[in-house]
Amino acid sequence: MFELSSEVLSGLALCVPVLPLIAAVVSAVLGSTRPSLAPLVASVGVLGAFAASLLLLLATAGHGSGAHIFHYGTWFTIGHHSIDWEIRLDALATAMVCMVTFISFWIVIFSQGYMDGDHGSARFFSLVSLFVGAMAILVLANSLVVMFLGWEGVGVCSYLLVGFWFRKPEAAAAARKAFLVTRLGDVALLGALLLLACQPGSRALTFDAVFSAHLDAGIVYFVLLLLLIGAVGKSAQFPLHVWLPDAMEGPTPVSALIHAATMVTAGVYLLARFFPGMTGESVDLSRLDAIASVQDLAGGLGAITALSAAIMAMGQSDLKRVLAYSTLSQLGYMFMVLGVSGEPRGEHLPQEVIGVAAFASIFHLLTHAFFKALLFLSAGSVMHAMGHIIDMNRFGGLRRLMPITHASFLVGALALAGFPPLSGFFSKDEILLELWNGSLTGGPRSAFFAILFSVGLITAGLTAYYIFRAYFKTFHGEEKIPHEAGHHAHESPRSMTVPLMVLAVCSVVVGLAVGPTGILHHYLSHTSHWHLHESAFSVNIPMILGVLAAVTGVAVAWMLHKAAASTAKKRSMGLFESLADNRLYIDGLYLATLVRPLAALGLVVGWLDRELISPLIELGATVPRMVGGRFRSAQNGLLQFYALAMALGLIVILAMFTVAR
Amino acid sequence: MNSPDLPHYLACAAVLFVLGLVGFLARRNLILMFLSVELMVQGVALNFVAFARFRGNLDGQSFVLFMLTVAACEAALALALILALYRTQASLDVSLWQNLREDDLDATEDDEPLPGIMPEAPLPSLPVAGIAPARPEESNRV
Repeated sequence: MFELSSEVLSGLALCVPVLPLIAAVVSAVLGSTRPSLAPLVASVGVLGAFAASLLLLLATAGHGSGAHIFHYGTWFTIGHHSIDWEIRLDALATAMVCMVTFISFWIVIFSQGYMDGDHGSARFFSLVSLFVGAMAILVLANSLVVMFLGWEGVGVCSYLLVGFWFRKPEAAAAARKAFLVTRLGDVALLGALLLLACQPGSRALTFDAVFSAHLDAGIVYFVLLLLLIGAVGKSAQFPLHVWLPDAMEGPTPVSALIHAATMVTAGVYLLARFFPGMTGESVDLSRLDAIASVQDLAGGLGAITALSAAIMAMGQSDLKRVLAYSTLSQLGYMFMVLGVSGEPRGEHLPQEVIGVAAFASIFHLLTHAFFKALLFLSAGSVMHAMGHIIDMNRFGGLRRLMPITHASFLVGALALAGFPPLSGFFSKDEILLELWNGSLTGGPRSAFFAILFSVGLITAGLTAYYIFRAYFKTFHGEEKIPHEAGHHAHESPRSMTVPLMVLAVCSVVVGLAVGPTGILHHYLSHTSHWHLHESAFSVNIPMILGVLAAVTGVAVAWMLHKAAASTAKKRSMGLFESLADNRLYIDGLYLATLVRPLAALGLVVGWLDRELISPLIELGATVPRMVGGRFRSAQNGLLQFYALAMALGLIVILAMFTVAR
Repeated sequence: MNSPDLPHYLACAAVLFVLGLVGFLARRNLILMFLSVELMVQGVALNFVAFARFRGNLDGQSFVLFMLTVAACEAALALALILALYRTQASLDVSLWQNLREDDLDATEDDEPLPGIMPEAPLPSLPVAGIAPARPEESNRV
């Protein structure tokens, strides 16, 4: 759109992570004396970061493929390689950071109303700013080590914010669970970095060095496998998905920001960078094969997560949990399409296929961030009015009481279900289209892609069902208000409804504006290693199937809602619902196979330590104690006794010298 | 009569030191103990001077100047401490301060307690003759 000099770009890029970090420090320091200033500081910091990233987006749009790299200093040096504070600005990073800061800003505004009157609100806003800074570091880093810093930073913020109400035992336990489970993934990611650091070509550990290094196919396989495990942990995919539903114990704006829009998408972002990047320009078949086999795993895990999370979401009675499982399921979609590997397809090179798949996942990531944040904030608005009750059986028929929340939730639900022309429709269609195309190639993996496609289609129907089930239960039917709400069950204040309206407009407009017009496609085609070929928007079979699935889902939800309303008696819980209610017994399985045996081992080790090792050590300690006891009576506190002892000692020493001579 | 030789000085210093040592060990009055310490210091100082004199070397002399300075400072400090101690117990008996003994030891009891503070002799009562003189308030009551 317009040109900016390299210095200005560099300064703007630095503002994106630094402003929120400064805001975090300032609001933490101010918090103890002037807690009312903390939200202001946080929103100014995040708004500054958004303004900077928007300028970057506009300045880099339309020209210049490849990445700008800005150098700010050296972090540390090992041997001949230094890890630098560098920002790598390319189209993908800019788009991502723009989305993150935009949503963060509106969530901070929403939180001002939501957290009003909470004692720790300064801590809350400080942590949210810190999170935004860490996320910006993650997205913008040039060195993988700095990216890891941001990766861990968002993890810590997630831990602290999930456990924000740490006096509540469930919240503390959920924070611990979130931290430990994602840690498994983080260790794998660290392993990938170490593996790369051991290879001569990629020792510098910057993205470009890694992507251009001549790595062995085996090394590529293991690096990508470890990165996949890291991404699975962070993005809560099966089998490490168990932390995300529990993380809903945190304040709702946190769920909207961290556990729907930004942090959990970091894994998708990482893989969308690495799968095309590792392919590079190479036509090395063994390397492509290694990448494809990791992609199969990503697609498979994504499919399992998408389907199982959708099933679990159907049986939840907790509104936030429905949304949490829905997030899992949508992240599963993104992983599924990342699994579309580069079998040469028609006239397209494998690189192009992988690039398009990565584009589809990132497109869904961006639109999902808007409508899922919207859904979470609407749920937060409901919670706020209902006195922090989130059980959908306890309230209902709120559409007249909370018209704005109702409208925004409806928009979010329609977008999630994928109704045209809302944003979710275009991005979900892109994913289904890629899977459909993959299944049509007739290559060795086409059956696998056909399975992925059908899973995607079924999940689309289930998605529409569970989100509209939640919608009907909350906003339709007989008006029911829990007694905890007291007399203040009302529409939320303006600071909360304005963000809802903004995000609702975005959920409607974003997909339509950037999807079919090709703007996003064109912009992201400048991302390095993404070989996007021009494609025109057209109506296709997956699209029609997807919309049919969504309509069916909504219709079933409506009929079941009507049926439930007419038969007032509660139905006995079917096998299906009890499965969903118990989270498909996966948490129970982990508890039985991992947690309990480890706890038992801990008990045994603790017993051994207390009963066997401690007494042994104490036995050793008795000797000096006994010897010391003999001489303790000399310490009688009498000054002259000490002086006498000194004088006698002196005499003895002098006598010894004399005798010795 | 010969002028005194090095052994004379050393003997004198040794006598001073031993007197101080015995005084320090035997007296229980804090002030007297402190004076005994000073005596020991002077004994050592005499040694220094004597050796300086007979070895023809001024190091010992200059050392003594420092010792005197330090002794003066120490005197100020010690007397202040003694004053503070006196204020807590209204006595100068050193055996009253044995709190720094081991926890499980009993305090050492005194077989021969020091005589307590003597009751003040009654003032002579004289017939009133004129105006009673204004008695100044004792300023440095210890």
